[in-house]
Amino acid sequence: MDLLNMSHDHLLLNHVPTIGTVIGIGLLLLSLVRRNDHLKHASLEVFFVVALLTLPAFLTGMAAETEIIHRDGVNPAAIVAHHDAALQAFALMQLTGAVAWVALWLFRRRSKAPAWVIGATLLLSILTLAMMTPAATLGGEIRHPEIRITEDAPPAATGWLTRAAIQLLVQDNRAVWPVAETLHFLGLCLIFGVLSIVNLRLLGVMKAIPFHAVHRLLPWGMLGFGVNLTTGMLFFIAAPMQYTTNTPFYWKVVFLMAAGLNLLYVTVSAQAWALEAGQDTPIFDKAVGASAIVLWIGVIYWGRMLPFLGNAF
Amino acid sequence: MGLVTTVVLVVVVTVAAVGVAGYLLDRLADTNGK
Repeated sequence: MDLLNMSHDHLLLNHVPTIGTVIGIGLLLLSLVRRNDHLKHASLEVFFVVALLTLPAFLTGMAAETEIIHRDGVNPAAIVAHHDAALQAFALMQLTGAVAWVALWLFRRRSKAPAWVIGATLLLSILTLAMMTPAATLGGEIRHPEIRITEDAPPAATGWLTRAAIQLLVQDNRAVWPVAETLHFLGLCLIFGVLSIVNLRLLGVMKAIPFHAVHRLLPWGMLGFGVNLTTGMLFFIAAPMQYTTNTPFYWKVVFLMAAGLNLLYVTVSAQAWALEAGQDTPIFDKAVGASAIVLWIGVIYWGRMLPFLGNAF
Repeated sequence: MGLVTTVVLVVVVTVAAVGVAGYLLDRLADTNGK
């Protein structure tokens, strides 16, 4: 198995959004039937991790496209239809992951998540599954003629959330790229600022502050992440060739995945939450805090190196 | 509208929207006892 083969990585990762969402919905429904908060918490964590893994699933898909689009028996229109369906499902998946994260954050702060946020997660996850299933089918049909109902390519998606619409937006408005770039840097400041404070406290710096005080800042970091995910996806979709063959970009995504798991840890950890003012942190938390800071610096470093070590711009 | 004006306007509006969202989320942060 060659993990540097992005087409192969796409084949491995593309099952996660569909199967993961089914597992998340199943756990959440079971938790509601059994009135079990542990199951509910687990389902929210599943949604968050699945949303995280949906990012490389989407990105490697674009690399797989460039690999197979000129091969015999591959209809480029079928790839575009799959891409746009996947993009719309991806957006809903990220929304589900974000709302699930808010629920996890509230779970930690109040020891119970309000019904509205659980209801919103369930609704969004069902909508995500409804979008993800056709996206997955369209993807399978690209290389599996045996499952196609007709030999015609499926009709392309319409609306503003398609590759064609996004590329047109960037080509026709020269303000879009600098706006997105400016917001990407502001979002980065929010993420790095908030997560530096939280992880420095885990490292044992600023012991006078109890952990629950810095935990309160986390939504600001998540908002920064939302801004950067949106603007980052705009860059990627508008100019995919700058990224799909760019090694620093893949390192950036790997570091981002690990940093995302750290965000989940600092959001839900009971051990970290229990840290009162003046208390030092256990060695495990110190290791988590230190590694998170290294990971976020890594995300910034690989992002900055896209044009220098890679082939962007 | 010029490029700089457009960039500044959109960035300011987005930052304001993030600020409002952050404020609303922060209002949810109050905990029982902590």
